[in-house]
Amino acid sequence: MSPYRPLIAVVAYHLAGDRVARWPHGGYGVPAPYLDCLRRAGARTAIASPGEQGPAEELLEAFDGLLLVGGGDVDPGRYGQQAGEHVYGVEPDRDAFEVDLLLAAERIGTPTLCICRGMQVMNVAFGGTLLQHLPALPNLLEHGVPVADTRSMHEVRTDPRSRLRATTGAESLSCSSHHHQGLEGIGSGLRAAGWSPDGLIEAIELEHDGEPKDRPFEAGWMLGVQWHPEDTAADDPAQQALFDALSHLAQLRGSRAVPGVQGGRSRAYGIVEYDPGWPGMFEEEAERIRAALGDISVRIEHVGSTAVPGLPAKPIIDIQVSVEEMSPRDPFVTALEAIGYTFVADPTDPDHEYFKKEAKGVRTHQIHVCLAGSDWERQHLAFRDHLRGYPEDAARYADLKQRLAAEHPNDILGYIDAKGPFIREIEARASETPDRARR
Amino acid sequence: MSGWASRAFGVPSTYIACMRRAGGLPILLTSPEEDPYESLSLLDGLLLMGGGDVEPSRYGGREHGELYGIEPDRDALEIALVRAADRDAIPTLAICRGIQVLNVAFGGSLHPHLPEVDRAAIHGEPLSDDPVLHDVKLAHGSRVADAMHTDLVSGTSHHHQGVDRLGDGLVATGWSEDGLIEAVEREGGWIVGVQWHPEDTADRDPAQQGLFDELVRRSRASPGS
Repeated sequence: MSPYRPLIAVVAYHLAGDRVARWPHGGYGVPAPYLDCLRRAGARTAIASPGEQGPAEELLEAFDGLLLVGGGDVDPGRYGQQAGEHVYGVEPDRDAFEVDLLLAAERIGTPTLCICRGMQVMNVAFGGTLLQHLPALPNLLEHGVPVADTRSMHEVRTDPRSRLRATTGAESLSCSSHHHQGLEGIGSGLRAAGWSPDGLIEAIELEHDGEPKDRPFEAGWMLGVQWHPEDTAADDPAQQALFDALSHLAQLRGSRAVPGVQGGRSRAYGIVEYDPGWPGMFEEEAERIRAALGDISVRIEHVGSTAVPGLPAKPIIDIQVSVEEMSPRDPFVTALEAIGYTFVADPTDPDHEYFKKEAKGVRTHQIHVCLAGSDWERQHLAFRDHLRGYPEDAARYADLKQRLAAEHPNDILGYIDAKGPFIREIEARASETPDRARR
Repeated sequence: MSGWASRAFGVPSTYIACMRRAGGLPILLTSPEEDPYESLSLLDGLLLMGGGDVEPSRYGGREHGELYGIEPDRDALEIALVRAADRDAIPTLAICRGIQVLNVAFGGSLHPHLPEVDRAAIHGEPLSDDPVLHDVKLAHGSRVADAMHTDLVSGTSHHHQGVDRLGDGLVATGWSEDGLIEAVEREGGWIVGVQWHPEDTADRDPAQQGLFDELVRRSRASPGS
């Protein structure tokens, strides 16, 4: 059977009545290159049109990923400004539809890519503001002209800590650009991830540093880029990588769907009582991994809930493997594949890659390869060590997990998000209190 | 299509408005699609809309000087979709080019150019802005007549091809005064094709809106939902 092909929702432009011959009432449309890029990435696409009145979450549940594309300007009223003379092509119902979809995507963890206007909508959706007309500002590069069939190529430098960097693997991207607006104030919960040489923000993403990495990693990937990756993706693998990542993460989300379960798309899970056999299962597997990786691994640790005595957990052994270098990844990918693991790239964090192992279709082990000395490594160890060292906190966590699993039986994201405050509390305390568990 | 340098995919707003009035949430699938059957799994109902001509080789037809707007990969997608809809009992409304695709999908053939057919009345021109309004007599008790709550409707028309030999399992259920087939339906399930454009007048003609209402009503109860 061929692998599941994820379904990506693409939001259409309005087409005015003069755009298409014999469509006097206009219509809705999407330029083909966006769809070509998604097809190249292995995704299926479906186009949704502005003006839908129903709940955005319900609409989005039917899809595995979301793509917002280029277009006219966001209504400046949405970010507390009067429209200046250069504002063009405002589509109020498209603004409303896209903002609702983005907020829903953030809540339910739909992987999302926002291009050009899409990035501006994303910023405004989270409370950010826009520069209304770049050519009116001093000291800026040429960023092209919207609508006209011209483009300017310029470089974008990527933040090494960003998902943009993790996704493209590039310090600098060569980008096709035709826009006259840009980002000013960044929306709440967002961070800048890339800049053109003139200092303009060219990419944003959902904030992730300091957040507990306990959501499935595909759930927090929302990336906005000011340029047009679809213009050059056919010839530039770093640009195509944006669509590949969206498709890949959407595939992860979609392939965990539970058919026919309302709101159950990618949401099934099961919590079981603590099994004293788990540490032994870890030791056995750690030996196998150590033998396969040799010098590549500098540290192998049992992490996650199965590593804390007494905690109920999803019955999957989490193994953290620290390495000195995340790239090239071929050495550890090849070695782990050879002992039965499947590689699942994590384009959300440059310091982490993920592997899973299944027996008869049931996942039994997962490996988190991370950079030695990284936040990823430290956070997961600190959390485990705190719970091992403070049984009263472990008991509180056990009670919480059981209560939340009963409250959110078919909603893994609801379950994980509800655990968030407790995890953040423990992480904060772990950094302050003496570490009783450390040998 | 003006204003974009590249090719594009789109849908006229009239279809979207009709589907929304009926309570549906319309999404647009585009070609090429390597596995159309998979696409149907997310849908409760299927709407095929207007467009250019079906490639004549699909129905054993011949090249004709008046053919226009042929999109082979759209033919492939829509033919596969309508067959899958039939197999999976997905309610389907097929409009203008759609009825022609529906007929061809089940082995029927088309008149390549109506103005050359004896006694054919004026059915409009595909790319003109002046649709022709004409009457269509519907078979009493047919799915199309039931959906429209009438046996005689007035529909706008701008097409230059038409259903000739009916496809397997298709029944003619509507005719214009010149005897041309204007509506067909598939035995079993709810797959209805109409040659005219109900979306043109549905905002003011409840009979035309009735087709979209019935599509959505049937889709709510379909296996996909």
